[in-house]
Amino acid sequence: MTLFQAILTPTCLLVAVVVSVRTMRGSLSRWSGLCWTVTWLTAAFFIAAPTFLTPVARWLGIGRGADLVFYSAVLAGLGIALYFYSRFRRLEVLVTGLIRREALEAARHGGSSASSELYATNSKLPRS
Amino acid sequence: MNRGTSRGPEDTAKEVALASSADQTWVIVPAFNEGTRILRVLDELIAVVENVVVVDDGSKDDTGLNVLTRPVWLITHPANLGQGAAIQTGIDFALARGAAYIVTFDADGQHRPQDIRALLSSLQRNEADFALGSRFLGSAKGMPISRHILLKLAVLFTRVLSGVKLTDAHNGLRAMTRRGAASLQIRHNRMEHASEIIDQIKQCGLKCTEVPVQIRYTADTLSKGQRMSNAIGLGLRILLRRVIR
Repeated sequence: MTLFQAILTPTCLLVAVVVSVRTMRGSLSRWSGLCWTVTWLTAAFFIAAPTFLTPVARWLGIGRGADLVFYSAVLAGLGIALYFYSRFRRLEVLVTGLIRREALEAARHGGSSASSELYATNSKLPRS
Repeated sequence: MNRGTSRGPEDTAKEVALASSADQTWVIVPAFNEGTRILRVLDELIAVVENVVVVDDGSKDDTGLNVLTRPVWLITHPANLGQGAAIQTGIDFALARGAAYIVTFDADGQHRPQDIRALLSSLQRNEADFALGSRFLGSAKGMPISRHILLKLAVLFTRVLSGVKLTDAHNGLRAMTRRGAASLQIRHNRMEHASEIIDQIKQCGLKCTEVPVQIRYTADTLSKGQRMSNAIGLGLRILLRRVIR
């Protein structure tokens, strides 16, 4: 077993255990917990024994099982990055809408010293 | 895409219409940490237009306080969202106030208020929904060569991605009719909005014209402009957001 396998295999197993415990405690839904547990266990298995993937890798024209694991990990990483980016975008749109609504409701017209003083006072107040 | 300043026989009637619609024109000034420059810009603007709305985009300095010393509207974003978001907020406000024409105008003093009239005239003469300012049709004295190259690359980028032939794709001085403004829905909060606006003009089938304007390049106005490093990130974000909306 290489150093890489010695570090990542127990790490993946540990994450699988943590996910299972969180699922049993109700922090994750059953379906989501099951999917993540299987994913981490599969990752641990194929990192520990990449030769099991060699026939699949050869069939795909890649050659080595280790390379197939690496390519799959890169693709999975990109997929996860895109997923979180799209979630970030949705949240950004939501936050922008909320900030815009609050800002439009508080629009004020200047030109008098009173409005400046009121603004200076209000801007120091803590926001609810 | 029209690029016209030519005047026809109906222009006199349209100039009368332009004068009567002056009070329905709203100028939106998105501002972020412009406390030292905003008053000079506002003093120039209020000499030319009646309705000005400054969208203070979460400034940390005294931008908002300074704005309120002038007879203009102030909308304050409690957090910094970006220029695109500030412009959309200003558009929503102006439309709710019955604006017939909306102009976007940068807060750093690089635009000339006198050019607003040329933009509005062009909208009416060409019966267009958008009049986009172009420094390359007008003048941009003092523009550094690096900025010139950057802007020309942006024009090329826009032409390839949007299929719209412009001479200046990232000019903050633009005018639009009520119909044009109501068709816009800027979803990209930061500087990507310039490309997004052009995309939406094309998608909505709105008529667009380019108008020569003058950009004032000084050490002051150059201090906040786009740099090559920002531009690469901006280009990548535009590409990414074409995939994920």
